[in-house]
Amino acid sequence: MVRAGKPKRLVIERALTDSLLARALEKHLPIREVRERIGPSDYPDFGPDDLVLARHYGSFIKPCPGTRGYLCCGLQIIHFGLGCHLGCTYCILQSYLNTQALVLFGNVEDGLARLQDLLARNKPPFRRYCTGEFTDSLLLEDLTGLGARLVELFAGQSQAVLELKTKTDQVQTLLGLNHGGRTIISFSVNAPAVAAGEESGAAPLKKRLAAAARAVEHGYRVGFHFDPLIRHPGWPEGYRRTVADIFQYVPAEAIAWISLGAFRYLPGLKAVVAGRHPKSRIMDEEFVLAADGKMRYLRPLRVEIYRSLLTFIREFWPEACVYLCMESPRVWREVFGFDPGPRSLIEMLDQRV
Amino acid sequence: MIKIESLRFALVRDEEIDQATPFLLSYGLEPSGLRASLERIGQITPLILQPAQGRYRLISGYRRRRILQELGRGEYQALILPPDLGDREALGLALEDNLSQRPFNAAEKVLALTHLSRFYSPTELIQTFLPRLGLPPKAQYLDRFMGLAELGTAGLTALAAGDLDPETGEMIVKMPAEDRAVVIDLLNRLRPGLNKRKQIVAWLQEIGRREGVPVRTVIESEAIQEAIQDERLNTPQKEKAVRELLRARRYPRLKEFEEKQARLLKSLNLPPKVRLEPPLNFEGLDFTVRINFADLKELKESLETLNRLAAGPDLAALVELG
Repeated sequence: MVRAGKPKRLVIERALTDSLLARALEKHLPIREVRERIGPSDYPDFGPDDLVLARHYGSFIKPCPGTRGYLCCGLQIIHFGLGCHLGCTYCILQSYLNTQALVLFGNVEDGLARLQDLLARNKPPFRRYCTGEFTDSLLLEDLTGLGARLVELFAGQSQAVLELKTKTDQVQTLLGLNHGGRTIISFSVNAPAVAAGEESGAAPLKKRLAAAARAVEHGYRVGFHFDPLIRHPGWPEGYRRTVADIFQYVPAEAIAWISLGAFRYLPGLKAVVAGRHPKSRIMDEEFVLAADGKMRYLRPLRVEIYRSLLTFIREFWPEACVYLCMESPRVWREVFGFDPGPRSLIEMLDQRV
Repeated sequence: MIKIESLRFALVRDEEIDQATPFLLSYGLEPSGLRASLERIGQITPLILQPAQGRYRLISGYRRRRILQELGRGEYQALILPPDLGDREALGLALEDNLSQRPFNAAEKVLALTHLSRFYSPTELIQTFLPRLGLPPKAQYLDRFMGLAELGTAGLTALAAGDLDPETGEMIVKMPAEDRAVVIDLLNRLRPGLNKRKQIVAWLQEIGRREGVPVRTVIESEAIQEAIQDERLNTPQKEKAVRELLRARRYPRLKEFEEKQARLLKSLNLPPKVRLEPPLNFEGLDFTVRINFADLKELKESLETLNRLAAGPDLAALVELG
């Protein structure tokens, strides 16, 4: 379940009305409008109730852009849509995107064909692919079935794995599949107070963990992303609670990795949050402009929260594979006592799968 | 559009005109040339009046009437509207009459939209009247300007004078009424520029939320009151002092780090031609050293100093701090 409502109507670009995705969606949603052409400049015309099916002209597969000076985990992004209606207060998409509608690329078959080409090479270097960079991987899984198709596509791969990242518990369509151990289902998790107050449209935390447990029962490995870590009153107890819950629901050996990423945002997000979520207090901590142009918690505050999380996790599983998402070598050194460098971080994660 | 044949001109005595101003669209200082023009050559532009219950109500020309009153004129040229003309049309005439003479200040835009909202839907206001007032046709601007009516006299006066911008005004409107007047008074005393004004109000709000105290309590704190009342400081110095106090209270850990960094930098006692710049916000990747020198001897001396410092604890502590 997710607590946010689903889109209520479809808007389709005319050339895509016969696409597989359009036909799948039409079974669930009424068509509000068919437009001759829908480009990014049209996106602001649509609201949170709209699901827009538009053609994507750019690349469907692209490496995570990373940022100079911050260590990137080296994922390849499968880009099938953008936007999310879970309504998390901190969501960076609010400042990236020019629409509150959810946009899916109706020509996603082109992207899947491109992906098949890449996978067919089946040669090194090893690649970790993910969806869920510009939208939630499983948000509309019950309507589109895209996640299930990807799972099957990766099942026989020896040089690639898929990571599906979600804040939902919608794993039902994935459970009976032959995944070949090549898909990691990852759950974005947070302290209970943050999950309840700042992620009000997402699945409740315990539902996410229960979904992770179900996935593990069906042979999947799972990941957990504590991202964004948010400093709030009582955060140490809150995060310790969530770490404890994870290990209560899921056996340690089924966890591929746990990532940590402190809340960071483009400066423009602050005004958006003030307007859309006036009761949220997430912007009231001490943020500074960092070298990547984003606002980040003052470094010692980040190090403090990372060290705490690392301690909590290691209490339950000393060998846990924990990494920092987009952090500086200096912060790595202060948290872990070493800086893996960009290559070693990627190799470390590759070796886990 | 109103029919021209339904209009007439007349000379009307002041006592025949109601004092009420149902469609007042003027706010703030009068345009500098208006009084001089009326003094020099008298009334050129007629008032717009409408017969009502045996008298006239003033539709447009509030300022002209007031100045002419002050100049001792008891009779005005007036364009008389038909008595059956509706309020919506009369307001439209008043709006066009005023807009044809001057651009509206922000307070006047608030007044105009408040009047117009009695007769037009939000969509009509956004699409038709926001552009007419020089504003983008977006709901957020309508919400902002309609909300600014809550600022009260002091706030609208500051808006009209340009001492308060609509965006900051919107931030102030969201505060409890007891805080608004105190914030506006602070801004009036400090007269910060646009960006600093926004920063001050944002910090006040954030400090209030972080500490769980009303904004007025922050302003009324001893340190800020001392800075405001310090007779040795001029207005820009007071503004700077208050901003520094607010920043230190908003970012206590950052301030603590900055002070520690400054102490360590000072303790290095660097030669005048050597500058050491730590990464911005303790976040950047590299320290920067700049050495200016006139000859090799000077360069060698600076390098030796840096070498010596690199082996000592203070520079190590500075680098550790980031």
